Amino acid sequence: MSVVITFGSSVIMYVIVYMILTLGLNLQYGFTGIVNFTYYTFVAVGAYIAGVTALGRPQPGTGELYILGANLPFPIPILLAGLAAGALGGALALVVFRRLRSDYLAIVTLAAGTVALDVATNSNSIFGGSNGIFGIPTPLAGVLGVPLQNSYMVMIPIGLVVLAICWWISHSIRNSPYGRILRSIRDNPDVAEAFGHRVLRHQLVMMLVGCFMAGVGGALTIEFVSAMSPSGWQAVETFIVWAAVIVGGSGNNLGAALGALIMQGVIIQGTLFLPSFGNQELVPAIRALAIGLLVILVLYFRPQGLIPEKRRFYDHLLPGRRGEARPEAIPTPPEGG
Amino acid sequence: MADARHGTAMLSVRDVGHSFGGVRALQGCSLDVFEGEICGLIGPNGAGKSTLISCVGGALVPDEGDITFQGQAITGLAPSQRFKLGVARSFQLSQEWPKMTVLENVLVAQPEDQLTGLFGALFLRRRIAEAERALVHRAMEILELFDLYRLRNAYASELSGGQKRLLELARIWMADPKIALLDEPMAGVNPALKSRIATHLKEMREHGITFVLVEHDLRTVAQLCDRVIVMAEGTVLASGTFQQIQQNESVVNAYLGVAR
Repeated sequence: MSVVITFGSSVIMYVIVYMILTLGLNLQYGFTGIVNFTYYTFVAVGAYIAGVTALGRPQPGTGELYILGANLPFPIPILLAGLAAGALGGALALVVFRRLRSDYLAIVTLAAGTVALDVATNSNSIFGGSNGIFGIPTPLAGVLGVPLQNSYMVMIPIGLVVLAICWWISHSIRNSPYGRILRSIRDNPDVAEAFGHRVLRHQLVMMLVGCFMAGVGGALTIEFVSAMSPSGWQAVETFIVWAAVIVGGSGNNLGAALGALIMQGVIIQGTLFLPSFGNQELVPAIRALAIGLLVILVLYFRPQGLIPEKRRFYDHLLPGRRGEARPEAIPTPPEGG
Repeated sequence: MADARHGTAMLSVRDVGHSFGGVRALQGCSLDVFEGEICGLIGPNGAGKSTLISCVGGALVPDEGDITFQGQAITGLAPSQRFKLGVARSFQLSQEWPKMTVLENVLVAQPEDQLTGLFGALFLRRRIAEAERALVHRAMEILELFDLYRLRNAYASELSGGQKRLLELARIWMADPKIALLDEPMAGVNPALKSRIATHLKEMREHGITFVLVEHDLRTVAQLCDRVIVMAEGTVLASGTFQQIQQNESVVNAYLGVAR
C-alpha cells in the first residue's frame, strides 16, 4: 500500500512540476513566439542553484565538489533558483535579440544548451561534474518532522502553491493588453515594432519570466528527488517539454497544463509500469516512440493542439450590447481582394 | 520647433543614401513633407520608394543622410520610438497579425503605457478593465467606419485582400499618428474599394493625419494627392502638383513617357 502511495504521490509531484515548466515555455513560445530550444538548461540551472544554496559546504572526504554551499532555509533556494535561471535567460536573449532576428534564437539556444551541458559535465568544481550534486534536503522536513521517504507530504503542497502562482501570472498576462501586445509580437514582430511596441524589451521580459518558471520547476525537482546530474538534462528533455506544449495546445494555459499531464503523467510515468523485457534500452525507446507518435498524430489531426488557443471576444465590453450576438460563422467577404 | 508652421516641413529627408549589398537603393535623396497634406510618392519599380519609407519608419537605418521629424532628428531611432513621436507606416504587402481577431488588430495599435506592461497585467487589473472599455468602444467605432464591424471577431487571416487593406487603415486611425507612410495602400484592390480607401484617407486627413502615399495608379494620385514627389534611381526627380510634374520633361522621360 505504501508503495502505491509513494509512487502515486511522486507522479502527482512530477506532473505539478511539469505543469510549471509548460506554463513557462507557453509564455515564451505560445504567447510571444520565442523559440527557446534550451529550455531545460534553465531547469537545470534552477535545480543546481537550489541544490548548492540548500546544501551545506561540501565535505572534504567525500570527493563531492560544488560552489556555494550556503545552507539557506526554504524558500530562499527556490527563489534564487528562479532568479538565476531568469537572469541567465534574459542575458542570453539580450545577446541574441540585439544582434539577430528572433528566428536565430532557436539555433543559438541549441548551441548554448550544448555548451552549458559540456561545461557542467567537465568542470567538477562548479556543480559536481558528471556526478552532479546529491543529498539535497527536503525543505521544512526537519521543522515539520516529516520522515525522508514521505517528502511528498511537504513537496506536493509547496508545488501546488508555486503552480498556483505561475498559473496566476500566466492567466493575468493572457487576459491583459500586455498579452495582446505579446501575441502581436508572436504574429509579426516587425509590424508590432512599427506600431510602437518595444519588441526587444518584451521578448527579454518573457525570456526572464519563462526561465524563472523553469528555474523554480528545477528547484522543486531537486528538492523532491534530492539529486541532479548532467544525465538529467540532456537536450531531449527540452523537446519533451516542447512536445507537451504542442500536444496540449500552445497559446492556451489549460492546453499547456493538459500537455504536461499527458506527457508526464501518462507517457513518462505510465511507461514505468511496463515490465522490463528484452534489451534494457527497450522501455526508454518505447517511451520516446510514444512521444514522437503523439506529436505526429496531434500535428496531423489537430495542429492547434488538444485545447487550442481561444478566440477572444470583447463584445461584453460594449455599452448596451450594440450589434448582434457572436456570429455563428464568418460572413463571406462581399468584395474581392 | 514642435509646431510646424505653414511652410515649415513636418518631415524632412536630407541626402539619404542606402545600399543593399552592392545595390544602391537610395542616393542623395532629399524631400520635405508638409503638415496636413497627402503627398504622393511615385516612380518606376526600383526607384527606392519602399526603401525610403523603411528609412523614415525606422525599419532600415540609412547609410548616410539625416531625417528630421518636427525639428527632431530621428535618423537612428527604433521604429517604436518613432511611432511614439507620431510616425506610423504600413507595409507593401498587408501585414496583419493573422492569429488575432480584427478587433484585436486594431486594439494592439494602442500606445504603450503603465497599463500595457507586465506590472499592469499583474497588479492593475481594475484600471485595465476600465481602460479596455473605452479602448474597445473606440476601436468598434473605427471598425464601423471602415465597415469591418461585423467581422470584428474574425481572425485577420480570414479576411479578403481588400478587407485587409481596410484593416490596415483602421489600425492606423486607432494609432492616430501625426504622419502615416502608406506603402501602396491600394495595391490589388478593385476600383470601387479603391475610391472608398481614397475617401477614408481624406477623412483621416481632415482628422489631422498627414500622409505620404506610394501609389502606382496615376489617376488616383491625381485625384487624391495635394503634391507629388517623383523618384527614380534612388533619388528625387521632381516634386510639385500633379499638373506641374506632368509637364516636367525629365519626369515624362523617366516615368510618364511610357504611359498611354
